Amino acid sequence: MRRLLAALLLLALCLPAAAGTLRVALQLEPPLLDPTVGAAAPIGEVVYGNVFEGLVTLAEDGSAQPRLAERWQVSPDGLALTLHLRTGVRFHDGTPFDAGVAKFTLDRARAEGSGNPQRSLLAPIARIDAPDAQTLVLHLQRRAGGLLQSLGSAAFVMVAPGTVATNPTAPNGTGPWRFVRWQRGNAIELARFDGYWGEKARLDTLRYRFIADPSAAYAAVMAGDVDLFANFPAPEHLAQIRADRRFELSVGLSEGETLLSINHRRAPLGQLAVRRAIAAAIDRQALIDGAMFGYGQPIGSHFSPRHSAYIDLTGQSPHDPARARALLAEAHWPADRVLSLKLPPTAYARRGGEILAAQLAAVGIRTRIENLEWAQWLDQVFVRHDFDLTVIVHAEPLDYGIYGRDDYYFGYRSERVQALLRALDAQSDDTDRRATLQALQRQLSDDAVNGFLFQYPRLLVQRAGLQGVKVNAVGSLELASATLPDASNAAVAQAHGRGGLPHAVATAALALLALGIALLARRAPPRWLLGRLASLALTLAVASVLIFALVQVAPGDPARYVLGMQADEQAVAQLRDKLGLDAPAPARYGQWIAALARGDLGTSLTYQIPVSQLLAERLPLTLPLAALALLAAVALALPAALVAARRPGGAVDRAVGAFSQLGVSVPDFWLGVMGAWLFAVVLRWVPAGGFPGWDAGLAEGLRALALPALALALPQAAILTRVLRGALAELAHAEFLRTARAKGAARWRVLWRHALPNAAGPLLTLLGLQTAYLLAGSVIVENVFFLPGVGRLLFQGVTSHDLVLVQSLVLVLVALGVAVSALVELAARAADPRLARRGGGA
Amino acid sequence: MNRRLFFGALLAGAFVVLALLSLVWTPHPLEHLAIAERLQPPNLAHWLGTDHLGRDVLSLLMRGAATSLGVAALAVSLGALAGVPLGLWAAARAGWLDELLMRGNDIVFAFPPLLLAVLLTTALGPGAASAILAVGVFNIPVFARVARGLALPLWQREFVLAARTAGKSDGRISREHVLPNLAGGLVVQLSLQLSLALLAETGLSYIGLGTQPPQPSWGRMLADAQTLTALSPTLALFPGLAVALAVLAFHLLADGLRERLDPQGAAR
Repeated sequence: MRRLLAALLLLALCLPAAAGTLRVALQLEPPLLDPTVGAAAPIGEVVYGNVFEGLVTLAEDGSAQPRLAERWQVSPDGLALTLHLRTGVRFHDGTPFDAGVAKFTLDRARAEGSGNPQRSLLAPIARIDAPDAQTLVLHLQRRAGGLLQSLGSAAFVMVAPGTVATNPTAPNGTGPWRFVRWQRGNAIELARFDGYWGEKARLDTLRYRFIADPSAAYAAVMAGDVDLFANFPAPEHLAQIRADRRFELSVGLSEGETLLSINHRRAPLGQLAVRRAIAAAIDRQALIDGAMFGYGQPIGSHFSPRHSAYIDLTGQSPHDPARARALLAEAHWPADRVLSLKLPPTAYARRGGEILAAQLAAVGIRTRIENLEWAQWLDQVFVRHDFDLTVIVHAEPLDYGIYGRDDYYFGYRSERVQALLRALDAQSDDTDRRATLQALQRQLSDDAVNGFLFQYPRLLVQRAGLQGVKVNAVGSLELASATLPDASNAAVAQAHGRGGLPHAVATAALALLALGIALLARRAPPRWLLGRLASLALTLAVASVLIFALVQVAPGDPARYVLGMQADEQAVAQLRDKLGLDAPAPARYGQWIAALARGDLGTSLTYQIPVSQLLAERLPLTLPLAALALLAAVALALPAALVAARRPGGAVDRAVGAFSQLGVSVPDFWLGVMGAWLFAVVLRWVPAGGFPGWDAGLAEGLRALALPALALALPQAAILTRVLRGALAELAHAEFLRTARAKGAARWRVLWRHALPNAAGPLLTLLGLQTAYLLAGSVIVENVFFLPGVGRLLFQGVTSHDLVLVQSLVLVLVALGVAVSALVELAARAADPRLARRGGGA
Repeated sequence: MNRRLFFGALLAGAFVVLALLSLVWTPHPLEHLAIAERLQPPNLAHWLGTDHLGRDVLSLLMRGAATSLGVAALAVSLGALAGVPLGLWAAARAGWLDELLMRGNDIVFAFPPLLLAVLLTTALGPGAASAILAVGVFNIPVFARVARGLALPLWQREFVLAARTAGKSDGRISREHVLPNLAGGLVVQLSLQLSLALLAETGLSYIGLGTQPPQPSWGRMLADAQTLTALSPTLALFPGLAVALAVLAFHLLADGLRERLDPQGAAR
């Protein structure tokens, strides 16, 4: 017996390390997957270190570590950097990696018009040579001490020449994980790359989901829907998560400095005394407690506390309201001046902004808060410098160089700082660099350039027992060495083989619909039909003009949103040109309509794939949701109205009336929030948010849609009940019904067979209107439950200023609504011929 | 005075009074942030508790009432002031103008107010003005349709025909004879639309496209509270209840008024 057990144990030890799928959640979905053409931080978070690798990587303290380059040396005159590359490295598609490929990557990045967001960092390079397959030499035109670290940026990962065009949607890199698929709005899947040069990944698959909403994130963690949540967006829930033994919390610091940025161009803010007053008014700890629930470390200058050169300068600008007031008096601060405080749409900025406004008011500085979406923030604050104060996290590591940039958004200029930065360029010795960096930090603090608030925390929530998760300095998770405590994983089991049923249902539904339309159309007179179609076309035409006009009036630059805060002016101009954003409005309208006629809804500016494809991915959620809601509404309203109409004026009738009165008054998203709290967080019957996809099975999909559909349905049911009951009650006095009763028919039969069909006309018309509202109402409900449907897509399009997406989507939604209305009118005429004679609805 | 009218008027009146009062006085000052006192459940000092920044929920609700009612009232007024004349005109001049107006109505109706609001905020930026415009524009066809529907039968009546024979212009007839007879129906519609406008405004503020902070609004309170329901379930409860009760109040008022002023129409 003992020998058997020993053998089993040995066998268990020999088994390959835990297989399985790791489900990772991040806050924001990347717009594309190639960090060499897009700067949004989420891009690197998914692919950097996993799919793509650079020549070097950055350690926590900011030093460069070998990755695809094994070692390097700098020439004595500092003008040549030689890198010795690893051998045996291949891309996922089989292309071998060598110095030629490295040269291609860097030359492409630094070329004019490359669109690489960090192109300016490679400016010191004059020429790149690849003398042999393993050696890369960078010849510099001037000394650049920080160049090696720059190579660790996500923008300079190695790419294969043959696949650059497809990298944004199907990344091909050298990393331990290869790309499998991307269901936009839903998930990204990566699988282990067995040809990796280094230690192979221990797990089989990575599945990324994107949850920015704090309560949906909390719900997903508690429900066990994710194994790992990087940058968890809800610090308010961390106390509960900590207390729960199923999870482990890792709290650290990110590379993001949170600042109250001050616009030096705006008159009194250019004075040192005023900026020092602002600094003295700020109580950093109260801010951290209120906005971040205590997570985050106060900073006194623009530098990461994890870096070896960091010095704590918070003592130079303590919270001292009296001193602030004295400084303001000294600077003759005008009492009637109101500063604009423009805030981006993140929780830390919104909450922090309110707290800061109160702290500034306490010393006599009045502010006016303006909440902006990202596209507006980029346009107003970052490009046009139209702001006094703003709150923002600067997330790039080692980005102190912004204080030397000419005309950066906060407009600071200092000879001393520029001299220090130049010195830094010339130094490669660690001790020298550290001294210079410290001098730089002191200078920034002395000048009170911005309100230095706190270092943004890195909140990592993971399942207990999950090991091997590495967070690199850029902030992305490297998951090659991650292992799960158990090999089984429910998600994997459900992932395959059940996709057939939903497809069948959809096809059947479409077929029935087509049949129904054909039958109904036969009954209607052709003249009426043509007239209706013409009116439909006219409505759509006018709607399209209206939509186009409104969307074009919108300020803001979509190209800048895609490329991000650090991007070159040139890269932005290149993108604008490529997307045709500078053509005159009527020409663009014409192009849009012509494309629509071809069935081309345009290409989304942020996702860079056809809108029709995005729509096709999202409609399978929104349409079933609307259909479910409609069914639920009818299922609730019909019995209620019948029971109420049976005895008009009776107790049941009054009760139903009262409930429906209430139902109409309650906002559906409130029902959603409270319902989510009750059914998802407390009872755990349904997931609190997200949609697993129909691939996971019909039952799972319906379970995820149940609560949202109910939230949408209840107010609609209330309206339907009122109308139906009203119609039925009105008919109750009709003669034909009394005849039926006189003949001995039971009450129910009278209602069901005689009254109801006569009420069908107004009922159907109402249902038609309701569908249009349901489709639009999905915008809010999909946001409450974080469902990747059309409504949420529209909302994301608005906030990221994706004009093409917004235009086409709104038109599609309006067209759907109008079409359904027309169809329903057709059905109503068929159901109630009197409508035809009366001349149609009012 | 029927029951609905009584309760509706009472409740709606209470909200209006509280809203107006909040402009000069609230139980606790609104700008006062006290992080240490945040997320308290209802207690003696704060009858409805405090929010995540330590502000008094009751005070916020009162000021939020002022904001929401203000936006809704302005939007509905906009709709009525533009829509009623249009409807009266369509009823007076039947024919192609009427057709045109009704087609125009259809087009605006095809745009659910939320989509219109989304477009407007893309163009104009989020804020109370965009919300008023979006909800107001949507109210125009509603009032036009109602006014037209109510006015049309009146044009067949004798006193109107007599006025026409006497040489009065259509405009004058509409103003002096038709409009006063519509007053009852229009008042009912105003109250109804007010309740719908309240819901719309709350929805817009909830997704961030309506009134902007630091102006308190019920929708935004709901959005803020949503992330904190696990820590403080009552935080989302009170704003939602406030919305529901206010909407209910104006709905009841509309129903009550309809019973009183337009008993035949009550069966509609």
